[in-house]
Amino acid sequence: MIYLISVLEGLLVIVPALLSVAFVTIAERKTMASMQRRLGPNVVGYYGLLQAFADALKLLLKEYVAPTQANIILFFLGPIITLIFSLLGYLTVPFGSGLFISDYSLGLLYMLAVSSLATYGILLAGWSANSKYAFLGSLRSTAQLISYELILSSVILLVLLLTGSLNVITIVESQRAVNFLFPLFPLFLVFFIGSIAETNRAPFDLAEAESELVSGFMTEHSASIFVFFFLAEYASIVLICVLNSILFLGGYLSIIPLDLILNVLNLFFDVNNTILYDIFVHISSSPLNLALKTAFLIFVFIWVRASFPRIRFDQLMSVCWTVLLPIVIAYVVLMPCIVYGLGIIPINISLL
Amino acid sequence: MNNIFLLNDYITNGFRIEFVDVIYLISILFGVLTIVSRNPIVSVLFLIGLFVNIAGLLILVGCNYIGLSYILVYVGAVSILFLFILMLINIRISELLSETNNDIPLAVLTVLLFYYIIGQVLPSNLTDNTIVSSLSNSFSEVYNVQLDNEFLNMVNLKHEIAYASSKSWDSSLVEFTHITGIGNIMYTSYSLWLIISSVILLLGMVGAIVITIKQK
Repeated sequence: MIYLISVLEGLLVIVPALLSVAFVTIAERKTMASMQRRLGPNVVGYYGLLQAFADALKLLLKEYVAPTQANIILFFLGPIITLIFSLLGYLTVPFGSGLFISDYSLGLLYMLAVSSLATYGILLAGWSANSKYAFLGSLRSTAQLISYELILSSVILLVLLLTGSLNVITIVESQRAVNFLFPLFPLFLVFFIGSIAETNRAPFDLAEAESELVSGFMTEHSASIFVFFFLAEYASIVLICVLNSILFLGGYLSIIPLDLILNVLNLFFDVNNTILYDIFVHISSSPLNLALKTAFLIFVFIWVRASFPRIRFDQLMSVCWTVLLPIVIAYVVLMPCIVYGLGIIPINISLL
Repeated sequence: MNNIFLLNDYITNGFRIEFVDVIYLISILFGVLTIVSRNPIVSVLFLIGLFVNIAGLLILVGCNYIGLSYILVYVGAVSILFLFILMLINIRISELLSETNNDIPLAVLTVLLFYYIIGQVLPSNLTDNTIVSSLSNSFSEVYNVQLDNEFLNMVNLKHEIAYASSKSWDSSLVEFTHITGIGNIMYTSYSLWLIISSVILLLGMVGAIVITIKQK
């Protein structure tokens, strides 16, 4: 009976994650519509809020068609692998202080490992469909993911240099003094570009370039199997935005400088004994902070998609290997020198 | 309002000795299927399944860092490149050529020889109480001698496994993580070997570039 509780714990994370995916799709469509002077979905529910559920229902009720020449087992295994491994990353995310499923000492490594496994789903789906478009899409996507994963993991290595721990909670808590956005701003830009490429989003969505490859690796997938890809894509977008805000924007730590406000207020009133103080303490590490930061980053994802034209595939790869990677490697040489020179090597932050 | 509820969930959390048996059996199955299956891509997929299994086993017995880096390096990078290359090659030709039944006695002989040598050297450690390993170890003499000595402590041994795999909370205060320990050893006592192995890696990279570069 008691093991139901850990099952419930898991559901408490996965169900809101999937719900947030549903609303991110609507947010994307509405935002892009307003950027292009359209209305966007506005029929189902208030302001079209329930459009995603209507779409999902439509896709689930559709007849699924699998190509006769396809390898059926791998054809269905691909989307399932993609969805499962994009959702597994949520295991180590701390949503607030004490709000996590697993306080894992190698949390960041775990997230990297799981996200690298999600590539297999794309590779399998593209190959098993036995279609040239899907195959080319999956090869492009895999090459892109492997290249940009290198950049992401190198940047994470540099963040680790300042925290001294792979534990995600320690990384968040060591930003109480200052967010890593300030000392590592160029790396944040590199990481953000890398994460746009890693999630196959425009302007780097060469894997599903409609003008060249119909719909990329998911060309042959339809109906409920397509929903899996759809959910996985947006779930990984939300997850990588959460990762961005954990690594650079301070995770669940407060956006507003509450200490400063308290000190200023203390000059005039005796705040420490009022309810205001309790509210401030409560806000200072509430999940709302993480939600706001993540929502802003997702908005930037959509903004970028609406603003920039798609680049060519060889340009994409050369940017990765000849522009971003040398910058990151230069930082890999520079940062240890700075950390050593200033004598700020992090020791046992996790025990504080 | 201020009560703390302590819930010890022992079914879905932590080490259970039955899982090791299941993983052993699945990994043997995957290993056989890797060799048996004709389509090279399916074969590589079974190999990846085997890697994931072994990584899961390593994490389960407490080697968290090694297990995760296994997934990250072997599954996330090396096998993807295997699969990538195999998908680009036209497989129909090689599918026709695979007639490997002649090599089965050689394979059996190699495995037996390997296991005979390794079984004598390896100590019977704490995780040696699973069904598969006790069955396989009953063939060698070394294990039987040790089993007689430790026979009375078999029950305690299972407790010790749970202790050694560091699932209890207090170990996280005292214990170093494996990554810290490995780092401490690698960058102090064995730093020379680290440098030498990195030079070998560099040599591999330069070699690959030299092979593919166009001579004018």
